[in-house]
Amino acid sequence: MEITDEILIDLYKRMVRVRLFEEEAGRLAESARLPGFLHLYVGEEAVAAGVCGALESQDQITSTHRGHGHLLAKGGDFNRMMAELMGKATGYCNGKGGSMHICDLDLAMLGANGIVGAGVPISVGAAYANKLTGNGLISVSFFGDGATNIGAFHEAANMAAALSLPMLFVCENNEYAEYSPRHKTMAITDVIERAAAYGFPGAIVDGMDCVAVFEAASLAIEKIRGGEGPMMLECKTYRFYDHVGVKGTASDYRTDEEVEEMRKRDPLVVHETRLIESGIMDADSIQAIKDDIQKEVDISVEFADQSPFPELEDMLVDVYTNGESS
Amino acid sequence: MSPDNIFEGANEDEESSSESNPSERKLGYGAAVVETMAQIMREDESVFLAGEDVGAHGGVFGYFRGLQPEFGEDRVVDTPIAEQAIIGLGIGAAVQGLRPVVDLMFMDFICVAMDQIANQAAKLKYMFGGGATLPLTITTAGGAGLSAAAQHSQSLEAMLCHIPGLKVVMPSDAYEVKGLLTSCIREDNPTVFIINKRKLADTCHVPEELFEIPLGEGHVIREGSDVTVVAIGRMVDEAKKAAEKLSGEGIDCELINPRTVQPLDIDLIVESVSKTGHAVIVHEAVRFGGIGAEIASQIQEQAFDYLDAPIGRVAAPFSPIPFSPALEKHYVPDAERIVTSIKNLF
Amino acid sequence: MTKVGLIANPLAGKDVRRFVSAASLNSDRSKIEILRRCVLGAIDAGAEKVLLANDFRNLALRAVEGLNLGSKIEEMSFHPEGRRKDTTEAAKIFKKEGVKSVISLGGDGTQRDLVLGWIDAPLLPISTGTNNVFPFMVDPTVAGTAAGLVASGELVIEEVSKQAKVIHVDLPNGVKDLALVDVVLVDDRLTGSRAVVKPDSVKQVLAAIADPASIGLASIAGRSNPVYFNDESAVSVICDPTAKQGVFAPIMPGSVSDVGITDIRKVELGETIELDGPGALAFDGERDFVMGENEVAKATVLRNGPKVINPIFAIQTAASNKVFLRKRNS
Repeated sequence: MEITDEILIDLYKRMVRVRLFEEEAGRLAESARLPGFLHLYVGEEAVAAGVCGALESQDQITSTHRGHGHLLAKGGDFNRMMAELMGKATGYCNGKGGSMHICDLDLAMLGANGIVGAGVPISVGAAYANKLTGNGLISVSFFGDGATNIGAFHEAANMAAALSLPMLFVCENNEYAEYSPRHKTMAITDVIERAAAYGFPGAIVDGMDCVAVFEAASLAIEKIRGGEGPMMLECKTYRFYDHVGVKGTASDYRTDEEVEEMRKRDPLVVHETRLIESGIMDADSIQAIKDDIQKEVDISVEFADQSPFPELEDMLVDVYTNGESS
Repeated sequence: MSPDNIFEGANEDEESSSESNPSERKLGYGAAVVETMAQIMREDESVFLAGEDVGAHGGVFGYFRGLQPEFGEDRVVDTPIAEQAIIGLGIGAAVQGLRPVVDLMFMDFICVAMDQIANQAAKLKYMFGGGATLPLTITTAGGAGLSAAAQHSQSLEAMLCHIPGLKVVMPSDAYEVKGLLTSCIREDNPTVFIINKRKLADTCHVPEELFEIPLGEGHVIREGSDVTVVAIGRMVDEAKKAAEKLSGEGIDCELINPRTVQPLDIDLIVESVSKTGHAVIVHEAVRFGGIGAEIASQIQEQAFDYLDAPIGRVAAPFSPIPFSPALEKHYVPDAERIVTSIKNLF
Repeated sequence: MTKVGLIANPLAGKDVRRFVSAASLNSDRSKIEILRRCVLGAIDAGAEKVLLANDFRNLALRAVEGLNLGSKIEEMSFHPEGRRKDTTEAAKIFKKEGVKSVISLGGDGTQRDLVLGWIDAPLLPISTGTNNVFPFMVDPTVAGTAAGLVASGELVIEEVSKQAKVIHVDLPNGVKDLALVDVVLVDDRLTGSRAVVKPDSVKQVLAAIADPASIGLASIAGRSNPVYFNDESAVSVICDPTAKQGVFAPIMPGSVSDVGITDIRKVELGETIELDGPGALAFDGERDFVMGENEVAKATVLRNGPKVINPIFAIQTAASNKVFLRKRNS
């Protein structure tokens, strides 16, 4: 497919939406305005933007505990997201899911997930529904390198392959399973080797470059939609902040030099440079995009702040469909 | 397909839990699973079945036999041995609007799939703020008595009942199999439908047409005035025998079959105990932390003043299920133990 | 000291061409096994040391685990970053350390990265890439033996190697780059996922090696007008999807495309060929540099590249020289 100016700008906007929202969420968490755990997606934006940019709007995705980026890149609403992070009734999950369970079924986003690897079998189910109903959609599961050490991943990979399902496995390989480096937790370094073990193709792409991800994802998606069965795209990427929270440096599990080196490959900067050098945008128009999106983020904070908390009687609502819990 | 002859050798004709006419059609407990599945799959294209060996082999107990020839490999899916992925398959498809029935061959295997059941299926709706609907049915074979030993015999319903979001269904006869399975598949919540593997060949009256038994409504099998006996799953059979025996000794049992243990029809039980003043709860699962503990607790909360004696529980001892028939026959509660327990109240 | 250098590119054979063609995955495990055979072959052939370039997957170190080769193995003190330049940096160290032969595992792209660091390296390239025009498909034990015999002096490098041609490219930004097989101008303004997968995007192919039996963009030239490793010339092909003439060329494994061509011409060594922007330049199969309107890259093919050791010829020469016949005790 032709990668037009519009696509290049669209990819940029998707990344900026994630970055500015996440940085804001980080600031709010630092000032103790967000309850619970916060797993920031900063640094990995090119993956969500590149993959979601290549999807049809109703292609399903499942996500991870680091899931804000996936929903935002798929078009998620700032207000409902920020409200959810604050535990407000107006949030995506009425304040009952929080950061780790952000979802938007209208956008075919079948949920972030607090259990590592657990979204992958669910994507298999969505892919099966696509196959059975012949709706032409594909299902995508985002997961980290660490998730591929969990049984659920292996069961899902094998089943997707055995049933030849329309599913794209997207591994966000950020080199760390929480705080443990990849080389301590697995004897291979490229997760696509696991795809090969289950009998489907995989390829590695630079996960710090949204265009590389978009192009690679598009190539795979076209084949998957055409009925070639599952494929795996492994994006080599990096988490600028720690597994949880807003600290990214002075840590006991990775060096500041490493973080600094990877920050030089910041996916936003990589793409901004490209947009400017190719004359598609200039510094002013880039700043204008950031300003507009920051305004939306600011509005979402205000919206969330002013939204009510759920009522106590909401506690038992939605445990079951069409029924009450006691 | 002729599902009604695949469980030949039924060892007893029992009375259906419904008002029945002996001349009406009888069907086996296992055959009722196939018949129900087939009828529902004919009327609703969104229903499909997936699990280990459910297709070509018809399930290890045969209660899916004939479905794949009729509905094809896409709607009756032989999956890998992968319990987490089987449940995930059901969840993902259910969220997409289908009505999957996924089979975990033995109930013991829910432990392998517990994340997908407890953390995913049960909680998605709530975590997502109500947006998700999960019309998912998990079928599984529970119960002891076949010398299947510790990993293929358990009754783990209490574990499941403890998880908000799930419904747990335990049919005690073929009639309930049909009515409850129909309800489960048409239900918009995840349900676990526990098939008792010692009941497969037992027959009773079952209507030809599909019908629903509401989930959460118990059934008074036998009215009585002296003691309320709450029996779950296959224990209904043993409790019936005990009640017959005791009626000859002047103790009049009221026998209640909750049919579903989550939700639990506690009102029916409390009402009965308020009348009889005595209660005994019978289940196959181990006594400690079993569903009987929950029922007993709710009875004393709501009917304490009516109780004339401590609440009795008849259940399995706190050990894994032994292999040897010599041990297993003492492990699983039977009519004799129920009789003893009831007599102890008086 | 007779030293053999050994390096593997962990990322070779893992790019997006696995989605769009029947390219194989070259796993870490298979590379480790190849490395191990190379080491054993080289030491058996008399190399005193094997200098291992550590890669960011530790493939080389894992290959010698448990071999108990002691001082025969030397680890390069160098910190790989998981990027292309790792191979280039390691090549510079090989040169500085004075290794007598280098075994390099990868495809055409990997060999190019190595040559960027040591242009006339005594090189025995082994194919583990997607496109493998330059490296040899050979049993690694044999390759190790050949490299070991060269290092130990049993074989004279000049007798078992031939210097390769190199396409030297002056980029419009003043940077000098090179390719070993082909430089291709594609109608693209992005480097994207790097591999060239769209046959219609190819505008011009300049190939130093254009073998009709090879896979990759050079096969467009190879199936139009073959030029072999030993030929003292190169070839330039101008492509256009609307051309009246086409050539069937396997630009990826298992993926044969009908590529329209308008002009084929021989290129002399030393002659300068211009590649006119706009477009992206792919070096040995990978898009690497984007040229704007009015930008021009200038390419010249010279035979001043690595001394490529032909492992089969080397082994045959050694056998003729009775190198493998040894006296036994008792």
